[in-house]
Amino acid sequence: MSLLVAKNVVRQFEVYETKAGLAGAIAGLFQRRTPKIVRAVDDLSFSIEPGEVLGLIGANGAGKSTIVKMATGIIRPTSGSIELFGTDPFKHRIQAAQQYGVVFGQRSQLWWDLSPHETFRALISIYDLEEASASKQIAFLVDVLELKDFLNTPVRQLSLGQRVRCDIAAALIHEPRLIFLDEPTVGVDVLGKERLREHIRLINQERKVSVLLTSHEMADIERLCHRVIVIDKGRLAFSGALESLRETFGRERQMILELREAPGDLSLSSGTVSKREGNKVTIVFEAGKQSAPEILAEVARQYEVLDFHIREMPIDQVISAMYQRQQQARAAESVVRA
Amino acid sequence: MTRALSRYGVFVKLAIQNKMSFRADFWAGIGEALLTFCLGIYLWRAIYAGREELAGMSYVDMTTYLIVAALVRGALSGSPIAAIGSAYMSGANAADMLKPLSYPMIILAREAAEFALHLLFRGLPVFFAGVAFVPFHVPEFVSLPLFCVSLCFAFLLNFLLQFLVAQLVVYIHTWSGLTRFWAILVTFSTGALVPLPFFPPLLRDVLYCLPFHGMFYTPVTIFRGTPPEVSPLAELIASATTLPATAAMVLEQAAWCGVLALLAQAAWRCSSQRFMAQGG
Amino acid sequence: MLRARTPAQALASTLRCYWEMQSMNVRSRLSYARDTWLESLLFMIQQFAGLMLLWVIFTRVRTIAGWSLPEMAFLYALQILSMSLYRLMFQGVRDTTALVAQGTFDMILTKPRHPLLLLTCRRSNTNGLADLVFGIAVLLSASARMDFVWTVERVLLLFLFVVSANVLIIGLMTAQAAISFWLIRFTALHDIIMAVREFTFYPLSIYGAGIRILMYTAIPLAFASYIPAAVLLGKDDIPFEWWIAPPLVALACLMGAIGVFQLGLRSYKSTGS
Repeated sequence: MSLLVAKNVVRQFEVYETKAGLAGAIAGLFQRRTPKIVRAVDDLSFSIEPGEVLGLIGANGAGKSTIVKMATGIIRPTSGSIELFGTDPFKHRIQAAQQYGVVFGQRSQLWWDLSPHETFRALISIYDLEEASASKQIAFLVDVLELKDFLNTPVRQLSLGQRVRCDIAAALIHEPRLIFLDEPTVGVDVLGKERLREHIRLINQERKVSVLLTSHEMADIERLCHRVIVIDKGRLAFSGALESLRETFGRERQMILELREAPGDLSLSSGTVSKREGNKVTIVFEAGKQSAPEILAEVARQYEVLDFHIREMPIDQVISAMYQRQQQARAAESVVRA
Repeated sequence: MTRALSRYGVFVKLAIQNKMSFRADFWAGIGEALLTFCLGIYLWRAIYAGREELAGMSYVDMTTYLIVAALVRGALSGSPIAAIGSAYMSGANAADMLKPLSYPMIILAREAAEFALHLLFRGLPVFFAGVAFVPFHVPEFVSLPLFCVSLCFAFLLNFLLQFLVAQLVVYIHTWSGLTRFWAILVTFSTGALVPLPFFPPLLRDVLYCLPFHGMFYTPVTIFRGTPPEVSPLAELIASATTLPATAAMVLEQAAWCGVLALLAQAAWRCSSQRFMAQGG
Repeated sequence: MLRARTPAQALASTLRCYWEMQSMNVRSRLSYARDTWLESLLFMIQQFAGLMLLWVIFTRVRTIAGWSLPEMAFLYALQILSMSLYRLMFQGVRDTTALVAQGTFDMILTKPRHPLLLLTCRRSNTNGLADLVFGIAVLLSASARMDFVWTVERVLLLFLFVVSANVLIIGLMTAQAAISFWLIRFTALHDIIMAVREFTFYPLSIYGAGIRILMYTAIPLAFASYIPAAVLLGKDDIPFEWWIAPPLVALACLMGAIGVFQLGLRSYKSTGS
């Protein structure tokens, strides 16, 4: 049985725009402003199964946070239905809250001036847990998330990575079967991100906790998710296994090279030059089909390379590439039909 | 010079726009000012209870005092301490400090904008409401320009004093205590709630030696034209220069502004390093 | 981990939760011990400055509206006590406005507890203790100056009045916090309530009809300090039977405020995408 089922969910917001400039500001004091209707989520359907990690990908503003808020019962869908553990999370908020955990990446639920340990103890009484089993769970979490070193340090003295780990632990104290991780790696250093992903993976595997992971970083998704859904402007753009997403849309890479002198003609047997800027040149190629070392060698044969780095395609581009192709497919379809 | 002004002018404009964007806060600010004014009127009416005069001020003197005090209080509603303190604690000051402009001047520009706004949209409405409903001594026209000058000096005094107090935030790491401390000072020593002539002689003399009365008592009584009482320093200036008492009081304000400006510069030089360290 | 609960168990669980969280808050404040003491000290000095201003006025007059200086101090003390318990134990409710504006209120909705409980537990303002200490001190010294004897009946009445006043303030603040569900960033209502509260530092008989109607109905702060003072001091304009009014008004206000809060929650739309 699915843990979470969303069917044809729509969510609209009213947005009031402020007029620009000084005159507009003064006018705003006296006039009622008319709202603009924005569809943050549009006809979305998906589900989360027990034991899986579902990635929710989308650019900023695509509607990811809104989805999490509806799934946790904070706001109600304008239309459509959401069922969490078989009940409407909005109608039965307290009951639902007892069964899921949530970590909002940029905001912490820990008491700022006290140690994480104290927050854990407070959560025992907030969730009305049994002392014995809660202590066992806390011990397990401290072990898996490696919190022992700073368990008794005030939260305000922790690094962001350490704090996020404690937040994840705090979200799991009451042994929920599903947790929502909303952009948990934002702002964490590269090494910290790696460790966080490893920790999340362990939790999912050891305790079979399902995870809904929102992120706009491909690396998070690649490391952790079994399945992904891609949201674009509130709509479902892709749903399926991670491999197919990567296969289909995420292959493009950019190699940015810094040469000793501005290059003239550059002949390449694979890859295409997408940008030139003084001494720097950007070459676009397809991972898997074209080899980065070969391209590098080819350029080096023609010009002296001082430095280079390789960039993955940013998620926004992956999505717009996907959207473009879908649009093309739809256009082609209508041509065929006509 | 004009270029420098226009650079800071941006901050003025942005501050005005920012303030205006919170419509409900705006109207409530006026409401609060009106309530405080009403309180003063009712209280002093009960205190006078039909008496002709108290501490050298007649009842109408008192109501006039309250009306003009409401005007000044409205105009000085801004809080440099809160602005500086909260920016420091949240690190928001970093953005301002990295600009190629003087940080204190940026704050001054913002506070000047707030002063103008509050004067127009809080001070004046309450003032006119007061004039309409409460007995009021119409001032001689001559004293009005002097009053305007005095009001500007009052703003500067308020700013400089609050700026100095705000420096302490780098040492005690909290600014809500500072606003409370400032409120205590203002309650007691500016003549905002109780005019200085009411204070017992010893206390009064001490208060006249401090700059605070220049923020309220001085401009409010200058408006009237003939102050019931003048500070010793102003009397000194008056007798030395044969200027009328009101002009002397303005000079006293100016003198304090000068002294405080020097102090503020010195203090800023000491603490600006620590200000920068915290931000960002 | 759901446990079926009887109402009694639910209440016990709520109280236990409240106790645990407020203990954490107090400990949190104590971790800044020096700042906490400093702030409380400043707080008391501020209250004292208000009293000093009164004293200055009374160097010129004997009475204000028939109230002598000790009687005014008595009223002042009750006024201070009327917010002491609220500050100490329930002031967290004030954060609602800020949390809603920042979008952080959602975190409170992801917990299996009523938001009001979690809000009130967010902080403990130890200045409330300073209020209690200072208020009682002024009360005692004012009553000494007046030869006011504290009989058992009067002590019980005082206890009832202080608790009712705080309940009333809690209600007002909760209602004020609830407004932020509809009007985001409307901190001004809190300031207006505090401005009206300034009026209750003085006997209500000095005000015009309009203000008095306001203080007895829309923002019924008259019941927080003036009526209790008048009843205890035996003032002519308030008959003794009115002693029942403060607790009743306080309860009604609290119930109404919780109702408004529930309405606000329902219409809450979180900010952000």
